[in-house]
Amino acid sequence: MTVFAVLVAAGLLSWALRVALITVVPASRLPTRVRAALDHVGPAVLAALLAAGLTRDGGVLALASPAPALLALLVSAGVAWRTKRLAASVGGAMGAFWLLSLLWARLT
Amino acid sequence: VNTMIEAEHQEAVLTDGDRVVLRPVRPDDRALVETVFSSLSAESRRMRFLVPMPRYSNRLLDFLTDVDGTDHVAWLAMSGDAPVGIARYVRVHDEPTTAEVAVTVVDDHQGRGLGSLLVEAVRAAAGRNGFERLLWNVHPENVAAQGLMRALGMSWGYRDGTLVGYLPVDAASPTYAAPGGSPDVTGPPAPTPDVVARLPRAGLSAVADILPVIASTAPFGMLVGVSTGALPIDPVAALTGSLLVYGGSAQLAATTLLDAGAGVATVLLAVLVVQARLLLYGAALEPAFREQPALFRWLAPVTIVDQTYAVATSRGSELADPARFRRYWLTAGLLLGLGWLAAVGVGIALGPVLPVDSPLSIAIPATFTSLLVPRLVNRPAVAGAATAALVTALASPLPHGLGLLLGVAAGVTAASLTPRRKS
Repeated sequence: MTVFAVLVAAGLLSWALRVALITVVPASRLPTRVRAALDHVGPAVLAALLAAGLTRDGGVLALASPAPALLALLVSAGVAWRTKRLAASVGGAMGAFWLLSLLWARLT
Repeated sequence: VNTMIEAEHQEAVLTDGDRVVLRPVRPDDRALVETVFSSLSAESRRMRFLVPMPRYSNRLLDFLTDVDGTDHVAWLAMSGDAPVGIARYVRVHDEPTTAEVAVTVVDDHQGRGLGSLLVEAVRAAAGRNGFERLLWNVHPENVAAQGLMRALGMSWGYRDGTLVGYLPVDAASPTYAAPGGSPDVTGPPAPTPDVVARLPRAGLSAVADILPVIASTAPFGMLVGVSTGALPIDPVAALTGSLLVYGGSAQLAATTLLDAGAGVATVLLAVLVVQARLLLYGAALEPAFREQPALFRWLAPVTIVDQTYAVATSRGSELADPARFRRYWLTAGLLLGLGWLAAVGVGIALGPVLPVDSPLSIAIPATFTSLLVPRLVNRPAVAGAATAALVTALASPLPHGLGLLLGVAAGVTAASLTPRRKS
């Protein structure tokens, strides 16, 4: 399957999720327990994506320069917590990573 | 104390089958009243008192238990030995035939029809005591209360940034569902024509809301473009695909997994879990789509993303009129879609000229971190995120990104099993 075909399939899947609880089965008819479980999907997915990108081989850090990267992610977490702005926290992480990498290269 | 009210004691069934007992608050119920208010989350407290309220003074507790059965009546809902909700009315000082209503439901019991039961109990008491109408001041972000206002058939408008609802005490409430039914508590009430006439044009509101959003999503769009452009795909196909998926984190998950050589089924499963929050957004927006033409109901949801959901719901009841919502939604969706396409296009074009070890390499984990952190607001979210990260890391040797799916499943399970507050 080509990359394009995968993206088209992902697009159709996304559309199905978007209309599912609006047009197919209106949300008001769902049991409370199902609605409660949906609440928990967001944090779990994001934490799993983060862990999948940072680790390999059962928990080894998959980073070229772990110290600057992890510190930069802490910076982005702090900015996100304070400002709730995606652009600010990602920009902050990139700036911090750039500075810390320079420092790290000097120290090691 | 009015002895007739004193004798009342009703058992009711919530929408999920749990039983509660409703009874009037007595002056000696101070401990129970304090339990209800001290167990509320900060957010629920802000919704109830319309301002942040970090703690309760003795004076406030004095007032909350100072019931007299006529000018101030409060009803308490008990689930077993635990108090789970309170509704009250207080006679309005300069409008003696108006009773101001306030409702509190503890976080764990919200969304189960308890609010409507409590309001109906208070309304019946107001009717017996000769009141003509109820007044309810609601925080404009309090979606549950607004749904309840509509279910009760309240007329409403804005005053000083607060949503003010009125209801004749003896009016029939045709949409109010009996205990055990499924009360309609998900959408804002329909505005009266004079309120609509005073609102700004829906298209202009949408432009004002969405322009800063386009600016804030542009770097992320470029990043998605860079990661998609690195795969074997021609630029036009990459742009078409990006527009179809229309979800940055989902596309990033897909391109990361494709790049790592994962199978098609795994990629689509990952897209499914990443996009699962669209179900939530759909559920929250469903009332606004309910009265729309069929074509709009099937096609307009394609522009549901975190940002359009956030801006549309932050407008609250202002968009309750179906035509207004339609104009707002189409304007915001089209503008954001065009902005997103442009950003992804720039990313695809720039990708080949960026150095491999540029700070962009930190942008992907930083994006997931930034989206995750603001959601860690309660114990289930923290437990779910920690479990998901740990299980995903431990399961990383599994092929085809299966570790990720295992991690998500473990995280959702852990979150579901974690109580919202310490027991």
